Amino acid sequence: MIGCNMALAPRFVLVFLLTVAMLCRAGSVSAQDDPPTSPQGSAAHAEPARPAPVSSTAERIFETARGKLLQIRTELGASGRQTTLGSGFLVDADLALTNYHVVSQYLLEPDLYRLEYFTAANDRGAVQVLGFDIADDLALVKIDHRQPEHFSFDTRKLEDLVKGEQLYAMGNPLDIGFAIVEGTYNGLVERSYTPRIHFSGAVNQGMSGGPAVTSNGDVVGINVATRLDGELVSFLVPAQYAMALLARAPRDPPKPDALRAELGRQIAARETELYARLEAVGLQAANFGPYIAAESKASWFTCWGNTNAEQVPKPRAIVENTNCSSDSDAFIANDLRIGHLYVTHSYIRSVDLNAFQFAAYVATQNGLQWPARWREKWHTPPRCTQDLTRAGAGKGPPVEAIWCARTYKDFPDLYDIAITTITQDRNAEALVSRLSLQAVTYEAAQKLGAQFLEALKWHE
Amino acid sequence: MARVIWVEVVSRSGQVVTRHRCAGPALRIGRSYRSDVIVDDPAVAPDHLRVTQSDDGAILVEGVPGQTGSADGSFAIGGERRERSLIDGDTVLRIGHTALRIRDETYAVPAAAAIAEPKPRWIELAVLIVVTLLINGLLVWLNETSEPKFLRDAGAVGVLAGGVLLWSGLWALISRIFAGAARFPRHLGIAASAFLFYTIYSLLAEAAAFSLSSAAIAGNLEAGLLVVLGIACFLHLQSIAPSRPRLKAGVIVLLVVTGIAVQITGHLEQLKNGQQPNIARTTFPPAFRLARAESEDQFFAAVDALRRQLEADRTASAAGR
Repeated sequence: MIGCNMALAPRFVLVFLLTVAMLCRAGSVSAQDDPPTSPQGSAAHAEPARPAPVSSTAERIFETARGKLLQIRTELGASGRQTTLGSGFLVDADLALTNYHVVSQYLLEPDLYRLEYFTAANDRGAVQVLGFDIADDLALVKIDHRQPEHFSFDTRKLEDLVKGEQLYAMGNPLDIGFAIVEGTYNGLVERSYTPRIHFSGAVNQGMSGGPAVTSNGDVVGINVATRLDGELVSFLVPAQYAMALLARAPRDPPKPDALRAELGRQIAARETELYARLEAVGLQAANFGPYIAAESKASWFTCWGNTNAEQVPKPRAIVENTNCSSDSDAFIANDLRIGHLYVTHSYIRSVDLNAFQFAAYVATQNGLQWPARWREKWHTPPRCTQDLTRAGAGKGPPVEAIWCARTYKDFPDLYDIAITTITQDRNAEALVSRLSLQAVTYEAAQKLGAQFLEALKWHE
Repeated sequence: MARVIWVEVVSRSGQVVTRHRCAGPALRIGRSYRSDVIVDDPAVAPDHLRVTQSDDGAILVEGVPGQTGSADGSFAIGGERRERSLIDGDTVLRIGHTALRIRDETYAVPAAAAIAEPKPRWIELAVLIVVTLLINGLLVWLNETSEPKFLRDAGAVGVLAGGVLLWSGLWALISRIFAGAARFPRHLGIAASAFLFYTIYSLLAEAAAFSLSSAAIAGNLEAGLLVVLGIACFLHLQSIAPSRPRLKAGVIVLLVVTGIAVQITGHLEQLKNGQQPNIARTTFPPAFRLARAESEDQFFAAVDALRRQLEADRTASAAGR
């Protein structure tokens, strides 16, 4: 996505998390606040005294949208103190859309938290969750007072939108008041498992769940995330998923237990689909010296390479690392995202290490790599098994295979699995490969693990 | 008949603390300066005992009557209070907190023993130390995966050697304090042998863990270290004083077992805290593998078995809530 040698894990931030810690960072975040000059804005170049002219379209859109915007707060049940803030927008007299991650704290701990909305006119009231969609990070909520106006959706297909079309994102950034941000539509994000619109505009924390509209005021997307390592690189959930949720969700609020059960169901369904697609897309061979190993063919993997060869003093074994990481994780809770995948290969060859020294060197490289940190709240302790086995369905090199797994306490049949193989056929060359699967069923992991092992071969 | 009578103050463990040469046939023992043997023990009366030797050589001990306090001129032999008693040269009698032994010049001592301490076998010791250093140097070299630096690598061996020297020195000091002789070469020999043994043991155990892919062996190497340490400590203690070997062995076994139990508990807790379980690392060249694996079925069977453990973990965590 960008040309520099970036960190391997994309640093997304979901834009709602306006906690105290993030308020402290407001100084650095506000650096992004200048709206980009728009085509409409450039029409105002006749008045050079105003450096950043306000687009009249934005003025008009915000005027009509103002009454349809909400701020959605998660508050502590006992003291009423806000813990997280997000935005939302009305899609019917008493129905509003927002992000799942704006209401997730309440959904996971309904006894600890409650939800409240605020309008631009400072009306407030209770919020109840009707339904949600964790795969697309959306939630449909019901508010306790009917409002006169609501948004309508842009019903065009995404293909009919053109790159460069002006979009306007709205919400309450950093809890400093409702705002409108101009930006441009830049198509769907490449290399993302979950369809996301690439919106070039300043979506800030607190704007999550707010609408992004066309110049007609119709909703095309919902603000969801921004890249901290980019400038104005933000993401929207396409409106079609919001329309689907609106059509599907019940109109009477389900009980908290039913919502929690629905969460488990959606996580299982989402992960099953993810791994079925991963398996269906299949693996492709990649070359590492004398070895051939598997990478995923899926378009939502980004691969980066690095080597230690340039280090001084000159390393006594050269390592070439390939790290393929998927953009397929979904937000579940502040401390849990699921669906992240890694495939990494380290091809190591000795420069002047003898066989013993080389083995010791390889041992320093074969630490396992989990897709995410272990958290006592979510995971059971990890367990491993290892054995010398033969890759390539009996025709590949002998490998030391290590299988480590941990389960999810709350989601039956889901596991984090990390598989490492270390080739054991040469004294001065080795390939250390890892496949790391998050929130996968055991059967799918066994199938993928077997494929991964089978694909590891020698060059003819 | 003026014979020489020896009065010996002995410690609780039977060693002579002071020895007084007195002219016979009669003498007085007490705290006062009238006494022939002055005993500085507050629980002893100023005039406590009178000792007389008859012509046939028998020694009679009598308490001096009319004394005040608990002493009251009496004494104890083997825990039994007496006021007069005939004693021989091996009788230990107790007045106040002090133990005494009275012997005359006719008391028979055994013939000179051969020198018990063999001369240190310097050549064997030197060979042992050189072999130990060479093996450790070799291991450091085989594990050197970055640019070799002589001082750093030799330093690693030096630190090990220094540790062994310090350990032997401490035992020699203890030996000097409690047994009167440092016997440094002997302690150095024990320490170096134990270290060499542990080096070879851990090398073999690591090779076994690698060739069998056994995390269980790899994770329990320290248990062997504790056992070797226990054996070394026992040998050190025995060379200080060879008494009560069973008691020493018992205490050491208890300590070693406690240490191993603490280690196992630590491992289990680490596992529970989400730290990665032990895995056997690939520290040897592929030639060290015992068997060539031909199929992955065995591996995936173990993977299946692991699932049952994980399910049990999940059930346990659900029950814990």
